[in-house]
Amino acid sequence: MVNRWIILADMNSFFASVHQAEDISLRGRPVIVTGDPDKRRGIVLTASYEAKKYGVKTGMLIWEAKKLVPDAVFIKAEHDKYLQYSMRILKIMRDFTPLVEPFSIDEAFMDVTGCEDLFGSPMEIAKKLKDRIKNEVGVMCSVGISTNKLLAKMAAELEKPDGLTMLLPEEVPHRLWPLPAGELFGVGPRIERRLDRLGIKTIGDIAKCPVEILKREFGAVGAALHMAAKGIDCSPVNPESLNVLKGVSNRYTLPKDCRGEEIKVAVVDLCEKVVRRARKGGYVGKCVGLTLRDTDLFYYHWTKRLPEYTDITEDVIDTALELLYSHWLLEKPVRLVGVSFTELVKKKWEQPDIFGRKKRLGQLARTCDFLKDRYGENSVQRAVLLEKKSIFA
Amino acid sequence: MHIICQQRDLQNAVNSVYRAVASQSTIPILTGILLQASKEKIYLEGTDMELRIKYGLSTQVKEEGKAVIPARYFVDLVKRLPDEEIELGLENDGKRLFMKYGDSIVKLNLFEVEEFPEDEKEPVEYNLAVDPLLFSESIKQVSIAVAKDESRPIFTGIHLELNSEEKFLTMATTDSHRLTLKKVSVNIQKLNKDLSEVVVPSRALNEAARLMGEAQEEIKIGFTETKACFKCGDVVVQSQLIDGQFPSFRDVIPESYKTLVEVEIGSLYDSLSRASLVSYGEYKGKGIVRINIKDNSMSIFSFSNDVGEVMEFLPLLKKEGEDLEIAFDARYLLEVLRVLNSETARIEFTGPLSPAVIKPSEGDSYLYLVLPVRIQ
Repeated sequence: MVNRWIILADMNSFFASVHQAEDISLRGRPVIVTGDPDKRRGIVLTASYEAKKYGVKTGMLIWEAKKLVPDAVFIKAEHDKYLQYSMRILKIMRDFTPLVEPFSIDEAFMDVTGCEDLFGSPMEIAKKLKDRIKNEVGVMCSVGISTNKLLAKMAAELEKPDGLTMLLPEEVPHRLWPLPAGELFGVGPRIERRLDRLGIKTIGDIAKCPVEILKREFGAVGAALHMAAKGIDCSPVNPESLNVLKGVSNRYTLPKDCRGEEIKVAVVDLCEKVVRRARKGGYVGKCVGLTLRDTDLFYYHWTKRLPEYTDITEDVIDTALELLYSHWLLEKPVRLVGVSFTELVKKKWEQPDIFGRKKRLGQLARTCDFLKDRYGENSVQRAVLLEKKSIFA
Repeated sequence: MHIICQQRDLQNAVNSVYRAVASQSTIPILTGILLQASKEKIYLEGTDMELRIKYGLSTQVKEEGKAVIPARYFVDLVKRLPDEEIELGLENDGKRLFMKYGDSIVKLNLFEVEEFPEDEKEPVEYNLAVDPLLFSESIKQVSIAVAKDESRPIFTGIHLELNSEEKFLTMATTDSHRLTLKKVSVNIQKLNKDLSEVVVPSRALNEAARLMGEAQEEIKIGFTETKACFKCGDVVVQSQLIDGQFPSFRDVIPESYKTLVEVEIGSLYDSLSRASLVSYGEYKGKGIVRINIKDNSMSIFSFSNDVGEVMEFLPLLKKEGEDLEIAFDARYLLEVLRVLNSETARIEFTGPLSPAVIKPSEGDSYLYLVLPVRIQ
């Protein structure tokens, strides 16, 4: 493959930065975005760098953060707003190249191979991008530049906040290999623990470890880790990656530990969101997954296949709740809830049913989608989300 | 208990009741088969609490008694015994069963007889009688539209409704995409108005059809508040009824049609099965076909971007009404063509997005309704 130039822009403390961009008085002050500050057991979603200095971390309980930075500003998360900002940033990136791949709400890749004549060297493009995001959106970002997506991502991680880092493949041995294995993209705490047991401490250890050993321990993931540690990655920047869906999923850490009906309400809410996203893309799906995380931070995941493809919210809700009831003791508290809707295919045809159920529910969904598109996601909601036991009420 | 029977008879009996035995259950006794010997007969019985099958066998009984035998081992052993006389008896204070064949012997540990869930003593009045062949053919015809998934239990059953004046039983099934309706003439011995409408698990009816379909005498049918019972000779199949409201299916059957065609079933079946191989769209394993009825012929078309396309042409034996373009899941058509028991079929369409009704050309005892697919 011809030498490519890939840039990753990673917004720093994105949620907090958005609030600081909107409200001048918050700039330079410790800002902490939380689930719901009114609820005693809410947790920290993002802390601004001013707050991070005091040791505030994502996932901390609000009262813990308050103890560390008593004069911090606590703000309840406004996800719609972050999405709008994210779209504005993507728009700026698309001024440089159509090859922009959103990777998460606050990160996106762009392939600027061949853009030199238009905008200058990759370094100059990255500077221009940073400046434009800072001036036009008001958010700081760390930018990584390299010849593939993996190294661009690793480069952006090297300097935070407000970084601008180029990492070339030949620099991998001296810049990446000394770092702890957990810093490698794709290595989470679990894999890190298992690597540690094999005596693998640094990224360099992974690269030097015979691939057979990694394969035996981690399967296909092991082979991928080995490539990653060597800085090899051929995956293209795919602007459609979010458009060609194999599945949609949504999860959130709850603002407090939830039990019983509260879990149920969160599941219903998430089902509503994932199926709406599938419908928006014109998909039908066949598999429903439910993820829970308990207060010991263990994850649980179950899936169930539906008898036929559907884009009807009620089908997914029924299945997700069936998973919940059959696998979870409702009095057991939950920290995180996630719902996935997978095996998606484009809806090319539909088998109507004799008694008109699909027609009725389909019409209802289309009407609600229309209202939400026009008046916002909260313009129409399931009544259960408004009940007292709802965590959203 | 002490009996002597032929291996072949015993194997038949054991296999018959084994279909009702719970393959795995949290209640261990349900994985057993009850064997009772009395006078000139032995009775075998298996149940998973929903379905119960009893099978009687005339044989030589030396001593009466009963035992509950672990079904898996009993079935597998009896199957492997030589085709000759087998002697069965109890030893070890009734805790063990022995089976003697030739000079050899097998011994099996038993369950506690008292634990076996006995049939409720509520007497069953067998009020209806039906021809075995008609019964089993009918069950086959309606079973195709029974829902395969358990998410809506009512759709896994066969709805039975008695018309006592005209002496027929209406069987109906639906999985919400299609619906079957079958009229079966019955002999009514005594009227029981309270139980004119029930939903019986299709599994039970299929077992009854399988065990009784070739019998020489009529199948007797009776209902209690909670059960449906089928009896033929010494074989009894009993099932719990399915609770719930069966949808009011009569409203959805169209009274008239816009297009009517008659086709030869064999050639329609062959054309559809070829066309369904190349699926419409990207749904794996689904054969969506477009059917075009124009003038006096029918064309069937399917395509897939990856694979290719199939174009089939069929002559129509008869056509009335408008030309029509419509699409179906081919499986839903193939399944009904297999059970129509006729040379030719009559298909009534009510529009490209409305139900189509398929019947055999002769007679009005069977009807199959299917909804076309809507192509986006």
